[in-house]
Amino acid sequence: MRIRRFLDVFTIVSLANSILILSVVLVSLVLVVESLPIIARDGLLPLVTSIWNPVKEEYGFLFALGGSLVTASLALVFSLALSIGSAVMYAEFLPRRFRVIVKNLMDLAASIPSVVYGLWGLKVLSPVLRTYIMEPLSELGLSQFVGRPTPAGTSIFTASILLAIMVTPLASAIIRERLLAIPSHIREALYSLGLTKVEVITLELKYIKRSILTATAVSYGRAVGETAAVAMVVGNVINLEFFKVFKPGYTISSLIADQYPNAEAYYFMKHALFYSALVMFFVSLAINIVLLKFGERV
Amino acid sequence: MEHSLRSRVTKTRRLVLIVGIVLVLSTVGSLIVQKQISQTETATVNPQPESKTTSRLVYITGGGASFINPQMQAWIRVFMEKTGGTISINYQSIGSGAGEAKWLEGALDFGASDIAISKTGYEKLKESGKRFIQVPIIAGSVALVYNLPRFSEAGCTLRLTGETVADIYLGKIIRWSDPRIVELQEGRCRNFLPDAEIFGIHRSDGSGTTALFTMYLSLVSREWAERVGYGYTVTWPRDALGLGEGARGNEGVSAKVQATPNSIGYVELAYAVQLKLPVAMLRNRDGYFVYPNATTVMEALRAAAKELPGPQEFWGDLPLKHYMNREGRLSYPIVGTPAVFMYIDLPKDLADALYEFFKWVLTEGQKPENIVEGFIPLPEEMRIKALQYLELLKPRG
Repeated sequence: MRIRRFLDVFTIVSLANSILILSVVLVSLVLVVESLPIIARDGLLPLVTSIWNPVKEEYGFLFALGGSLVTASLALVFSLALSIGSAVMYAEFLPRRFRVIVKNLMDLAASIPSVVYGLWGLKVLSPVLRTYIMEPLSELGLSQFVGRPTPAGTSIFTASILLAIMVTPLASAIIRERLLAIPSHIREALYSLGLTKVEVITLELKYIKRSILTATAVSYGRAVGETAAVAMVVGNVINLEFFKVFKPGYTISSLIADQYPNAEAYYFMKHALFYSALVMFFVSLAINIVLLKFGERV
Repeated sequence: MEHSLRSRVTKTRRLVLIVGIVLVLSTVGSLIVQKQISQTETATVNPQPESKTTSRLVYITGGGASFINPQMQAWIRVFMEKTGGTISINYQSIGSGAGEAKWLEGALDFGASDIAISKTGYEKLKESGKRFIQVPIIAGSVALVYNLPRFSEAGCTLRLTGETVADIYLGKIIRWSDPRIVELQEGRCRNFLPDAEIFGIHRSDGSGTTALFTMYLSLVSREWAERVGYGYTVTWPRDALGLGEGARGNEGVSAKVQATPNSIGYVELAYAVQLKLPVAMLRNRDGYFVYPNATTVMEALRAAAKELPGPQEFWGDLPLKHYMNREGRLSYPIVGTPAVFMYIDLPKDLADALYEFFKWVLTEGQKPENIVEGFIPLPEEMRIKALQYLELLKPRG
């Protein structure tokens, strides 16, 4: 009798949950254990220096940390604009018979492997952005703030545009579904107040701001973790001025992908890479907590 | 009210209980697994006294350098067909550094690397006191590729010296029209060099190719040796000027060079050949400009074979200095030999199988029909030395 009571739905659900909790705990445990040697040697130094010189066993990954945060944040801004725009377009303006096609195309875009995006980014997006956006802007005198693009056109800016394009379908789907789910009596009430279309849409977006926030958190997670595509267009250069977005740079994920295979030929490189992952893990955690807390309040 | 509160409390308790049980179980489980792994590791490393008949299937797992992967897979396929399935070989392309590290850990039966065993690896081997051999198995070479459309259209080929290449990547030569580059070109071609900045592309991932290339630069340029050094990954001074950039893999460098006019990069010769990229000629020690190809690479290795260090020796702080920049009118300066590492005191089955496979690789495997396009076999002198080294693997008695 007791056994049967114990094997109910609740047990199964909590078992699944505990595996999830466990995996997060174990991942952070591995990250901490593997980064201990470099923490013991350098403390917090790698967080504030931008040197990656395995020849001298010097590791500082501020450039990659900064690059990750800048690419992800820029990508977030662009993708929010794109995804809100496309969701509103879909829910409010698009004639019903086109919806199926557009929806399927968007879902298809979400399922393209990131390497394909990366190749497209390298061959098409980078030169286009360089010729039509980065070079004109930097020649306008912005170069002291955003840097000068390289001939290849790969840069932090390029990576964030590509990331924005990559995460938009998912973010857009979240916002779109929520927009469509707004009860029709609310929409009708808004119109009956004599509001214009623009005003109605603004109010509707305010109504679903929690979902927009969720979309933001999801996109941020994807943008910061994306490796294959970013590694192809970010330029992979140790750039101390990662805030100059037209210059090539690095992200934590592309640094790990690049350096891990041969890391064990050095004394500390593997530990430094784990340390960078640990830092990124906590930074992402902090950003997610802030986003969700912020979301509770507004 | 009270009832639901109580059930909530018991549910929380049960959640804690279940999480606790899972935690304990997984810890115990992982401990057991780890113990088993370490047991099997010691089992493969320690010689087994009992010797069984060799008729049963022997599994060999190797891994390392990604550059030799296509060639390795071709060898394995042909060899396994020949032996009729008594030996099963599996090669994982995980990178030179990982190949060495995993072999040292005992996770691989043989490791393969674009360069010799590293200093850190050698120290670990000395500590453990295990006997090992390292055997070259194929030739490797690094080609300088470039993208100068007008220059190539005019039918010209870029000529460079080691010092100019070092100065380009050091950021001391900025433009293609620099007199130090122009004076190296044939008279007719000098006018076709653009007055544009050189865009220097390099590997962003750690790689044996970078190790070979930077070893050569360290050898020919004192400033390079002091400021940069050599290794799977180095800090590139040209990047700091905004005139250099990294790309992932040989294919990434090739793609970026193809996509960027006025750029220069370095790739394993096989990639340059397969992708038909313009390849620069390099001035060798005797003052001749040479292309990397089968003749010039083998010529250089022929000279290198004379001073090849012993199979158990540390190949030095600059492990491939015996290979690079060798004498000879036809010698191409940046060459190496990807090598495999094996422990000597292995169980008899395994030692026999490894011996048989690499003996085949160094004899039949070097014949043109077994060499993949773009790869270059070892010259005779080097091959004979490698076979001698391999003999150490054969258990006596």
